[in-house]
Amino acid sequence: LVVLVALVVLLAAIAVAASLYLRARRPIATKNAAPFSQEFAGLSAAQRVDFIFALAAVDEPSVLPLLEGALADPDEAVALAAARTLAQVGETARLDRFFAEHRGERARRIAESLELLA
Amino acid sequence: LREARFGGLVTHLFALRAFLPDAIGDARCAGLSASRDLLREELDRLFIKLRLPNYVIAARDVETPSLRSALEHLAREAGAAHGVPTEPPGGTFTLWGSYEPSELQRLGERFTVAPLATALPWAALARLLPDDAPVWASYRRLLIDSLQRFDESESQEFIDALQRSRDPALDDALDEILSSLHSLA
Repeated sequence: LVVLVALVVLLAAIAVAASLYLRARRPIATKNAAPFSQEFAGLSAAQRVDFIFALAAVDEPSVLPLLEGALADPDEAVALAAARTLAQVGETARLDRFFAEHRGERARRIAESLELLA
Repeated sequence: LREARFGGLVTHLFALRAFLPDAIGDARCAGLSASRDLLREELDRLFIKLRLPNYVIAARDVETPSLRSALEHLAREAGAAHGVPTEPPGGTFTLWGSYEPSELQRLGERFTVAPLATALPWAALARLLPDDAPVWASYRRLLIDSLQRFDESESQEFIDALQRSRDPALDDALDEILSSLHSLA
């Protein structure tokens, strides 16, 4: 009986530990964008464009802030790549927000180019 | 297309994409849809990259294995096609063209051995351009001749030409067809 109780307690402890581990992992996945962003900023413009195109194939919401942030990239081609990728993955609300907040010449050019690609 | 003038032969890849036919022959051509999607993906990306200052075109910007596979399928289908596509609904301006199927068959057979990012698939697509008006026929002939010059070239030579080789007569011919389209609008 003592062995049986010990086994049940052990199994319960394993279940609790597993659940805590899985819960702890979830936030790590969504926080991935931060180190990602640091690496991204260190790339050349051409590499940033390639990086963004590669993200189009990643079905992971944590990459969306990076794409949204890239709309303000100093290089307009990188911003256009981000805009196209956001449009491609159906994140038009983020694009609309960007164009609503940025009404300058640069945003206009990006919007026009995006329309050409649509 | 007016926004896609980049100073080398690459400009004309955008024209090939823009004027890819909607129909070939009197039967359904399954390869068209896949080719259109993949050409769009590849050339949209290239269009963006060419906006980077001093961007150097790479082989992967010009052709991927999946694009090659789709274009090979299209060339083989076009080589076997016959008849005339159904007339689209009224009110639509339609560009028509005709080609020699055996030529496309011959090109299609070479796809499996030609390295990626060479001129061959683009030369095959050029044969699918419209040619029912003199300006179109002239552009098509010039583009085929221009691509034919790279028939035996390595991919790097073709890529260099895409980036740097200007052909004023070919560029003018493209301008003429764009003007003729504008006059219809």
